[in-house]
Amino acid sequence: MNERYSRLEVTKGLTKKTVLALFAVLVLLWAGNLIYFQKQQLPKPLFLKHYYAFSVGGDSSLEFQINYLVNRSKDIELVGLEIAGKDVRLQVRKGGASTFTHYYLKTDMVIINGQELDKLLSSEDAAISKLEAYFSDGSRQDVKIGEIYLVDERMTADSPLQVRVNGSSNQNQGFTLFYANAPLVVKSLENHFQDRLGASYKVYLDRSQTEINGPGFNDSQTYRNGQRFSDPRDEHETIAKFSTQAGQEVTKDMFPFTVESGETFRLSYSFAFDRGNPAKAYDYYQIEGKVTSESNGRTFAERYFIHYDPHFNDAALRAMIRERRET
Amino acid sequence: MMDEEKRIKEQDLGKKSAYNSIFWGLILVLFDFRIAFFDFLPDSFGYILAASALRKLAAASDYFGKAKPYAYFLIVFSLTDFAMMDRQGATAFILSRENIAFMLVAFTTTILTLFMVYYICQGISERALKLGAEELRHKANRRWRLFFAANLIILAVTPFGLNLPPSLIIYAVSVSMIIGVISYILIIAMVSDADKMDSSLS
Repeated sequence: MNERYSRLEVTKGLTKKTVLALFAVLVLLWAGNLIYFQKQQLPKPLFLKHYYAFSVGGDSSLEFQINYLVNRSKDIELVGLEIAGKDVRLQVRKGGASTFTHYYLKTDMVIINGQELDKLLSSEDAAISKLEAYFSDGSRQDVKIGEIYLVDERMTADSPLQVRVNGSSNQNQGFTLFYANAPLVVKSLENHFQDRLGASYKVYLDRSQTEINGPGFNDSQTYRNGQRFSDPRDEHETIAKFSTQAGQEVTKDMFPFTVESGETFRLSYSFAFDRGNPAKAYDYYQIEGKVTSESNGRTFAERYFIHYDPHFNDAALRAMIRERRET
Repeated sequence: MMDEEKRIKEQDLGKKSAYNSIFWGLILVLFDFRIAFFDFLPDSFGYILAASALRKLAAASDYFGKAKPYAYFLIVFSLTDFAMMDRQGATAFILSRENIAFMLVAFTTTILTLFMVYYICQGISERALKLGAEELRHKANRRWRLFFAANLIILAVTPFGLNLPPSLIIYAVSVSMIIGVISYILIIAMVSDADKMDSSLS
């Protein structure tokens, strides 16, 4: 009697049925979550698509970023890359990783040294689209990484049209500011991926004699392309200022146009992908476009810079993976 | 007559040291002492202490005997600690996100612990009833229910750690873990009370 009383007290309000029902709910919660988790797992690392175009003439090596997804449940690293069929080895320098609920989005730097670059440029097709990837767990995988074009084209060293500064913001906008040190005619603007980007990409020409100033940006010595600002806040503010869309949208019928000596003009761009078809918004773009100009009967080439990195969250990653699985 | 008194005295002393062993066993399970990822106080030591104590206490109440097999299972399951040593020193929750096997082991360990603690509470409650320690009996009942509820919440919340962003789940997991630890400490304190009860009333 006493023993029964004791047991009833400890389990008061908890009948066997209640306990079993609670455990059944727990088992369902666990099973449901495990099944969903398992469905989210990638069978192998997934490389994102990169659409890059680089002018590599005269450079001793080339560096670009490559992005791939791995499961958080099996964190592996990319350790080496090789261009399939061309015997060109690429070095991988470990970069950072963004953490999502199920995945790590890893960003590594790929380095093609001078010797390998020469080998690649001397081959018939200096484009990279398929790679053999080697991972830290010893696995190997043939991967499609998008399209990376290497154009063996030395920009004209004595071009009267010079890039003063360029930058891009995390708002998918950017700019290149040009300065003419002699009268010239701008003949054309080329972008290797114009057709692919279509209406998602817009470029504007601002000829309103842009004043070259901004925080941390007053010394002409700091204008040189690639040079960092001493204070990152200044860089951010100035890039935001110069990335602001102004002027006319560039169309073919704008060319040619004349630029006087001492005149500046700015090319700014923005990306806006169609919400109904967001697949392209998941790709990376790093494009060195070409501005062709003519002065005193000579033709010159200068670069302008376009950069787009997609912004991912869990939902965007799921959509991207679903889209890749379907294609 | 003298022999009978001596036997009862020895049995009481045995119970006292047995409660003490459960007390220290549960404390060993609660604390980790890691140096360079190696746990110098593995949970299995705690469960071994508890299992041997429950074997001694089985004579005082069948419930302690029923708790014993769960303690043995826990010894075996806690050995997986060595196989799944946390390389990054992360919390069990973070590790569990990375490793489903670890989560399943944690789930099973929690269920086995629930059974073991249930029978320990039952044993203490029954013993308190026999010795007329009403307060301890009620305490055993209350603390078991708190422990049961806390562990159910942990078990319900943990699997969502697999599929929800950390920012959403971390607070729910942290709060349930804190309640779980508090309820576990209260169980340990109750075992200590049972030790004192047996010393003073038997």
